[in-house]
Amino acid sequence: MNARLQGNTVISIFDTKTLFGDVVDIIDQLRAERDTPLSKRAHRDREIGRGLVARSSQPLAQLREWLRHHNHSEAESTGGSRAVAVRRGMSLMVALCGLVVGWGVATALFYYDGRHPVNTVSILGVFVGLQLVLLVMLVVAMLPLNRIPILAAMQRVLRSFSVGRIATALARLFPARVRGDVAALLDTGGRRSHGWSKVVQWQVFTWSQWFAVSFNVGALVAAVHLIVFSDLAFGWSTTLTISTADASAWIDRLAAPWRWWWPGAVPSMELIDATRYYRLNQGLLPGVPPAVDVAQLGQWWPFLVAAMLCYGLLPRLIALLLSYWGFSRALRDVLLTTPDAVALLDRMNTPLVETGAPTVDRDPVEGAALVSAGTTSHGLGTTVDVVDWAQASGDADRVGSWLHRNGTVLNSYYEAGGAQPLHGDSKVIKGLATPGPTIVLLVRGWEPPLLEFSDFLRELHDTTGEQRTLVVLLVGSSQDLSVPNDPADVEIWTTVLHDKLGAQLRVEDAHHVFPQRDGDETDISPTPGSTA
Amino acid sequence: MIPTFAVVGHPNKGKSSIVATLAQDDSVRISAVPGTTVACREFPMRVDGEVLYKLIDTPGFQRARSVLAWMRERESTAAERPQIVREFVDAHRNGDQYADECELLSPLLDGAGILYVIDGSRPFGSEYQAEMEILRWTGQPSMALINMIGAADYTEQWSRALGQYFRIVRRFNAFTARFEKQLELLRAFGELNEDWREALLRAIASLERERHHRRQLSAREITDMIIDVLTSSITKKIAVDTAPEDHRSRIEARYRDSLQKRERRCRDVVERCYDYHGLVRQEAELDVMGGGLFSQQTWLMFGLSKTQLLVTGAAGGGAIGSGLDMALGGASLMLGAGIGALVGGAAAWYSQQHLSDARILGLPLGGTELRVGPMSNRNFPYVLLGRALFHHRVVAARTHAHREQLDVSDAAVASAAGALPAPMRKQFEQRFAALRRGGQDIAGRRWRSEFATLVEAAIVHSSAQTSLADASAS
Repeated sequence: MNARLQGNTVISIFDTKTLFGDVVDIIDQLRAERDTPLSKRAHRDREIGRGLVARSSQPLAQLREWLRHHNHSEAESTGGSRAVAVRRGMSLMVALCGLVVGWGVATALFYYDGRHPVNTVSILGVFVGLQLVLLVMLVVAMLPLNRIPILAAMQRVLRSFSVGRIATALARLFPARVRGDVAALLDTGGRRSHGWSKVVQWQVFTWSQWFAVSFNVGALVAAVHLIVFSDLAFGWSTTLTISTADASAWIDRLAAPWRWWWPGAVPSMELIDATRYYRLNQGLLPGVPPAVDVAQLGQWWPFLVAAMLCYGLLPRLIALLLSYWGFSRALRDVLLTTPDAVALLDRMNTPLVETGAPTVDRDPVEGAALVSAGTTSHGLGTTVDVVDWAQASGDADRVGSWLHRNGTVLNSYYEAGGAQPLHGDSKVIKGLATPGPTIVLLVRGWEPPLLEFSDFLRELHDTTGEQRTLVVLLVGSSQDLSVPNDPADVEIWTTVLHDKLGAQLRVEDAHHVFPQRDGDETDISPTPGSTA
Repeated sequence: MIPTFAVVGHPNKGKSSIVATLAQDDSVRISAVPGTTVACREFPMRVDGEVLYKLIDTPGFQRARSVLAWMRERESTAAERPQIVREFVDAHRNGDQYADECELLSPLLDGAGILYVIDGSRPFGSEYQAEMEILRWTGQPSMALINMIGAADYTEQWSRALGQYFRIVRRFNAFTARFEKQLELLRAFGELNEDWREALLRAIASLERERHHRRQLSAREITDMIIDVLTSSITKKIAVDTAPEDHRSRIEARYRDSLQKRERRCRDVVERCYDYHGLVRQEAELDVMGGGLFSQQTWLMFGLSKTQLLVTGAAGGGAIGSGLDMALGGASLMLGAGIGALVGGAAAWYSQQHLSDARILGLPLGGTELRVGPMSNRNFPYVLLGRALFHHRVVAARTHAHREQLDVSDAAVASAAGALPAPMRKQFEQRFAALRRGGQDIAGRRWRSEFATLVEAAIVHSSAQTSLADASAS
């Protein structure tokens, strides 16, 4: 069955090989991709997912199709292909073991040297009785763990005694690379997710069934071989006190499944009665009682072969199919609960919504490191000229009175920036061109310094030359020059104007020049005031 | 034409913050120093590659008065104003003098709508008039956004001024705007141009679906984390003659680290779901240790515990006894099975010590198994859930304009799970109890899916509670 075409969630047990390889590859691939940027994976996976809209309800098929898109080179040896090879090799070895053991056991049980007949009780005991007991144990072992408390301990014991574990023992005979692949398959290092333990459990179970099936096949082949190529004499004998009638009833029950389609394989009462032998009966073989037809001694074989087929091989074939089904199911579950795979399905099936910038900032400008601002004033001097930039104060009288309080005389007051026309700025600069006192530029501290202000400052400096000191005085409130600025704002102004004009330019917080005094009006808002 | 919105304004008034919030992109540069944004940067909103709208972050105005003066010198009629703006850009595109203005005006000339951003926590200033006038000259549909960076409120003052230049004036806080507010703003963008409305409505629907999807992804990750943490244990097998205390502190530390690491990984995933990359968290470590976590028991052949060995011995003895019973045709009244089980069990029990001392090929047949975990404290799952819900709530409510650490260190987070309604709590209790009983084995695909749905419901409930609290607080 072509996995590419099948790809549905109804698991096919005939697809186990490719499914297993795919699951290993998908998990490995997703793990390897963890460091790939998510945006890259999101685009690629959504692109694949959009082509698989028709399979949006078939997650397993989607994941396998994703793998096909991903693996361009099918010939390349992947973890999955190696795991498949290891698994196949192990299965073959286990099957071979089963075949040899089955052949050997059957050869021993069907052994006939002409002195004693082949005891059918022994054959039924091993190929029916023992196998049925083992089947019961198998069912108990495979019941969900921890559901029935009293059985849990027994289940653990049975699981640890699984014949499938001989595969791991056989692995030791191989080179280190193969041993590594087996270890990866059985997750002896515990690197895989928790669900993988179920995969391992089903894998061991599958190997057990391969052993059992090949054991029965080997036994059947050996039995048929001996039946065909030698002359066997069958009888039955037991120490237990079982009457022929009871034995006949048991045998009838055993033969019930094939009674209708193979009546020749149901021993008759006469045959049962005639072929019973006792320890002390020296006459049967050799020296068969004259009443017994020697030909009857060989008539047990159809029954024995049918019993081996029905109670030995058939249940194990069913168990083998079941094991493949369980293995596939465990594989599907482990894949669909692996967080990476779940995330992949999401990426494939959910519209890719992107809101961020597709590219990184093409020309990032590092913000200059902030320069810490001074916490004291250097003083303004006895007389100052004031430029009120963008109506930082907006009132010459107010500025004058604040300066007066500080012992400074307002020589002249200009307005620039803000809503003033550009030629107004030029007039201000012309007005300040002559030598004079310190020029105080009142600016609103909460607004950032713009290039427009820097232009004005430079032009003013170029016009006044080195003779006049420029103080950029940051006001925290238009109405109250004693209101402190936000320290972060002062830092920004200091940073931007730092190194602009050298020692001639200072940036100060008006709060340091006009500290609040006791008795000052307190009804002025400490937050930036209105310039309206 | 794809709806395009240029976010323009004065420097340092939160343009980049608004873009970061609306574009859910924490890579946007946000700096206190003006002039950090020197070039336009596009943030297209795409659904499977189809662009539904674009946001453009622009540099701020630096010389608005000069620009306006240049334009006014060339103005003759109002109809020519957009052309004059274009001429201005063409004339100064390659120069340095008006680089910022050219950069910010270019997208407007290409048809972008205007989102003019001001800071409503600072007073209006006359210098803004030149900027608004220039924007009016472009003739593009426009909206003013009052961003609130500080605590003071000058909204009324601004509204009066902005109302003269912009038909639509909205308040939008880039730092506190919840997702619903962000969608509301996008809807308002549709009012700027009738032709943009359909694309914007589709974008909004996609964003809502995406939001829901993110919540689902988060719920799934939280579910996986809870399952992992509650079923996690560390075991170590040591020889019988080794003192367990020598190993105890080491494996306890390993256990604690593994749980804390798992929780941190969950938080990383949830943050990535919401497009946060490299968030620095301020968090309190998960308090893992408690009484009864450490245990030790003797293990014997094939890793069986004492009980398992006892069961095996009894079962084996019973099976042999049953064989004898069968051989006697039932005449023994099943005494064989009973006696066999007793003898087998007793033999297994009394042979434990000898078995654990024995060695085959140098390998011991028994020893002591030390185990830490899984956590059986009944309150612990709720603490874990509460922390996860709280973290998700903080991440989901955060906007991408924030640059400070994510503070999830609140000690009272456990109340996030405690505040769940009783029926929901009961459902959680059932699942926690199932995990305690069955471990990871019970957490199949469907079980996980149902649990994730429950966690998602808890997330929704937790968010709704927060919204209610916010609403009542405001």
